[in-house]
Parts: sequence; structure tokens; C-alpha cells
Amino acid sequence: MAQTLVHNAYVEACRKRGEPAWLVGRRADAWQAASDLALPKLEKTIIERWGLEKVLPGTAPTEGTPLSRDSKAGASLVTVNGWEQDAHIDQALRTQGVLLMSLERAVAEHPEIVEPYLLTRPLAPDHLLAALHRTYLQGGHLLYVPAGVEIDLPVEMVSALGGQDAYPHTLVVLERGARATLVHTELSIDESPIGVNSAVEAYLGEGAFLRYAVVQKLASQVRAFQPRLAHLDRDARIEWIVVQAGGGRVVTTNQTLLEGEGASAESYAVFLGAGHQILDFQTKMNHLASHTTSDIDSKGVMTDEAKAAYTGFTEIRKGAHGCASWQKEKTLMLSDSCRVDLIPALWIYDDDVQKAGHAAAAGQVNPEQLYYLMSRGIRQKDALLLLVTGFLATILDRIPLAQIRDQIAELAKETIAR
Amino acid sequence: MRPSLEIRNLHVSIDDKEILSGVNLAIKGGEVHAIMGPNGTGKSTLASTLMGHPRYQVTEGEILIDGQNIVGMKPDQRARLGLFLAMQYPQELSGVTTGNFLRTAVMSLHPEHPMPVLEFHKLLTEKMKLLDIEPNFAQRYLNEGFSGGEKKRNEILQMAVLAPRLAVLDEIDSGLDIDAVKIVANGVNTLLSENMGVMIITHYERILRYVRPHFVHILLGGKVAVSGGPELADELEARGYDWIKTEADPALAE
Repeated sequence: MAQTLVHNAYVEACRKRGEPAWLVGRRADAWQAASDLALPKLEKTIIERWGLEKVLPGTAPTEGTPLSRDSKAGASLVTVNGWEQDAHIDQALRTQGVLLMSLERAVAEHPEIVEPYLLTRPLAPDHLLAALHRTYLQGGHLLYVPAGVEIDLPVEMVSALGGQDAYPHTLVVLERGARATLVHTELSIDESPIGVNSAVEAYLGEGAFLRYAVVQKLASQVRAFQPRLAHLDRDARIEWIVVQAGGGRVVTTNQTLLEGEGASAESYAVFLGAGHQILDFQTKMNHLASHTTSDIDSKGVMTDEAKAAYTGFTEIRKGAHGCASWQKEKTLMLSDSCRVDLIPALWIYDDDVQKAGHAAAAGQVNPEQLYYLMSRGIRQKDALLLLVTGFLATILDRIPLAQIRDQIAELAKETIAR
Repeated sequence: MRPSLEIRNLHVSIDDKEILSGVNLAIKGGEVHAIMGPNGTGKSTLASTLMGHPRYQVTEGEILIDGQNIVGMKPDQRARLGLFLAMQYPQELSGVTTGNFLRTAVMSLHPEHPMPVLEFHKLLTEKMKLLDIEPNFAQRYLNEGFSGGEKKRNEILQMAVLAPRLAVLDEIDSGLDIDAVKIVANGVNTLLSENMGVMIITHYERILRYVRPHFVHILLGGKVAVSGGPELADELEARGYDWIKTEADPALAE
């Protein structure tokens, strides 16, 4: 009841701020659906007490400390709690029609691009948190790459959060044949114990290619629900690089819908858990069309009392012929009290499958290897770091972005040092 | 100061079974000591115990480096006192390059004088040349997919780069062809000086033709049964081990 009041006031505020009727309408529809919905049921993680359903949108743009952006990037965007703080885009890209701006500005200035995509598709299976995101989404980012445009340098997006709950939404649209690399960093500007309900929607047109690297390093008291979803048209290709390090309690789904024939997806994920972190991490591949391929390679490093449930999910729908999919998930456990559940799932409904399989393993540090390193004078922590880096190498070697590789190494170091 | 390793009345057990029963040895910089003996007499136990492998329990006695007892110290602390063990079975580490590993080790050994990257690469290249090692070796993952010979050569490379004060070489010659033995021996001879003492553990005298020991000790039944000069190794080649069992310690004869 209290939430209904908050909701009504919020929608009214959106309307007053001049938000277009189509968006206000989509919020209202989502809210109507929300009343019948419950929290998502996760196989191994109990989120009922996290209070994610009580997360509310912020009230006003946050006065943030200026964050520096990568001056070398051809295009970069920094937002604080979803509000644009700094945006830069090379003239050449601008001339080609590339857009990089906060979602709020995009809604106002480029509704013809935003309206056909934003919230037109379900974010996740219908549950309360997805409906709340659709109701309350506030601020965020748009990257739009017109047909045939190829962006050579990585596009940088920094999503800084803090001081209040947040509902940022990231929309990525690559038209037919477009190519881009997007490096998206989610970080905290303070240690505040906020709630986050953020989403990423990517739409890849025919033959488009997106390399999407996301580094989540939010503060340790943050509770977060973070679905990320990509729709792939015919022959489109996505390469996910997901680095999950931050937040205290995190539910995240990284899902690819292979909707067009010949579409393909690769996912490289690293999740790090330390302290009392609780993580529910899902990588999902849905083969909805023929001759689609997917490959999942995920590695986790867990220590202290951290808990993780990792689900690798591959669906090959009936009628999607000649698909190929593979899943690999491996976890290294550095402490006796950490815990990980690896849940590989293959749902195959078509008889004509080219390849499908999975491999999952959780293991501990090999004491003989540790002894070998230490016998050369290397201190235990440094030796562990070498072993962890070595463990992650098969993924690191596949990541073409040096800045992400360095960040993973740095985050792994912090994980061990905690 | 000339390095010194002293082992006094060392008793060592694995899983409550005593393997070493009172070993006494003293090694100084510039000296090469060969520890010989048939299989199963505790040679490798001695090596692993010196380095501080957690599986080996010292139940009695002392190991002194420059007079400081290292029993109870972690392997990395021992290494920082100048001890090095070329292992019989080096570990394979996927994802960690030999170069990165060695650089980490050098920095751990000398944190007060961080070696600049270029200087490190110069050192590494020079030592690889000395041991006739291909330049791409440093980029390969540590021992992963290495042949037996490459692994042994890598151990000596590590010794050359880390420049220990006391080096223990555990069966460094096993699995090497004669050319490789010569290369490894040449490496050891080049590195040998007043500033490094060497203990070579072997059950073949072959390597001792190329690295001449100053002292030879025969380990039998968990103790040093006989000690002598290099001629002892020659005698072993001619006569085997059985005569020692009867002559040196009749109690050991079966």
C-alpha cells in the first residue's frame, strides 16, 4: 500500500518532468503487472530478506565528485546514479550518427531511437524485481551505432552509484552490420549500503557485432539485482566479458537470446567472492533459431566466507536445428568456509543438435604448487595470487582488452588480500 | 660472509614413520657435497626437509643457516635466507609464465632493491644463454608441457637467476641425456664460488664426473654411513653399495 503511494507519486513526477506519454504508460503497465508478481525463485540463493523489493528510485540528480574518464576512448560517458555527468564523443563518430548519452537525454532528444526498443521486451522471466525495474527505471545510458558503422576504439561507460538507491538502465542498439566494443564499469562513489536494480538491454541487428565488457565493482554493502540481456538478430555476434567482483549481495543474469539464424554468442565470466559476499550468478543462452552457437567459459575464485551459486543455462528450443553449445565452469576455493554451487543446465528440445555439453569443476589450491612457489622465496599471498592468475589465465588470454585484464588482476589481488 | 649450512642430529618422520635418524652434515660456500645412496634411504626426504615441505616432520635436531635454526620456518623464509632446492619433480603451473614467476621470485628475495624490468630481462637472457635455453622459454607457462630435460634445466635456470647461497640439487641428473647433464653441470660449475655451497643428491655417479664434489657422503638407513673425498664416488661406481653396508656399519647389513 505504501509502495502504491510511492509509485503514484513517482509516475506523477516523471510526467511533470516532461517524460513522454509512451514511457509513462510503459511504467504504469509494468506497475499494474507487479502487484501479482513475487520475488524470483532461485535454486540455491535465498533473497527474501535482502529487501530488493524495497529499493526505491532516487529523487534528484546527485551532486557527484567529478570522475575522470579515459581520455583515449573515442567515446565515453560517465553517469552518477544514472544522471549524466560527463559525455564525450569524437566528431568523426558523431558525424556517422553514433549516439552516446544518458538515457534521460536520449528519451528527450532521440525518442525515435529509444521508443522502439526500451522496455518493449521482457527483461527476465516475469517476477517482481523485473517489474519494479520497468516501473522505476531512472537514468542510465544509451549507446546507438547506426547500420554499417564500425567503432574501432572501445566505448567507455562508467556508471557510478552511491548515496541513494538506484534504477539505472542501459540500452545498447547496434543496427545491421554495426560493430562496437563497450566497456562498462559499475562502481560506488561511497560505502553507502544502497539497493540497486539495474538492467542492460542490448539489441544487435543482422550481422552486428558487440563486445560487451562489464566490470561490477560496487561497494561491499550494496545489494543488487542486475539482469543483462541481449537480443541477437540473424548472424549477429556478441562477446560477453563479465567481471563480477563487487557488492555484498548480488543476483545477476547475463542472458543471450539467439533469435536470428546463424547468431552466435561467447561468454567469458570471472566472478570473485570474498568476505561475506553472497552471489547468484547466471549465464544463459537461449537458442531460438537454427544454426546458432554459444560458448560459455566461466571461472570463479572464492575465499573467506563468501557464497556463490553459479548457473550455466543453455536452452535449445524445438525447431532450432543444427545448434552448437558448450559450457565450462570452474571455481577455485581458497578458504575452508567459502562455498560454491555450480549448476550446469542443458535444456535441449530439438533432435538435430550439432554439439551440446558442459563441464563443471570446483577445486582447491594444490599444496604442492604452493610449496614450489614459496620455495623460491615468494610469500604465501603472492604465491596464491600467481596461482589465481594462472587459474584465470585461460579466460584472461581470451580478453583482448588490456585494461580489463589489468583490472581483473587488480580485483583478484584485492580478493586475496581481504 | 661465507655461507654455512649445518645439519645437526636431524630426525625426520613422514606420517609418524621415521625416515631420517640423526643426520649430521656441514657445508660451506665454495664446497660441493654429494649425497649418495640407494633408493629409499632418505635422500629426497633430506632435500624436502631442508626446504620446509609441510609433509615432513622434524622430530629432533637442527638445521642451521649461518648459525640460525630454520626448523619451523616456511619455505619462503628459508629461500630468503639463501636456500634453494632444485626439485626432483618440479610442479607444472598453467597460466603462469616462467618469466613472470621468476620476476616475482626475484622481487620477493630482494624487496629492498626492486630490479628494473630491463635489468631482469638482461639477467634472464644471460642465464638462459649459459644453459643453452631457447629465448621463448620465458613466455611458456611454468613447466607446462616441458620435457623431463627441460624441467631440470629450468630448475638450474632458476638457481642461476635467483643466485642462492646454498643450493640443494635433488636428482638433477635423472632423466637427462649426457649432453643435458654436461650443460647442467657446466651451469653449476659456472655459478660455483665462495658465495655458494652446493649439495648434489644423486644415486648415479655420472653427474659427479662433470661436477667434481669435494666431499661425498653415503646415506644409508637414514644416517650418513660414510663420508669421504671424491674417490668415494669412484669406489661406489666400481663396487656398488653393498660393501658399505658390511664394512662401514655391520648393523645395516641384512
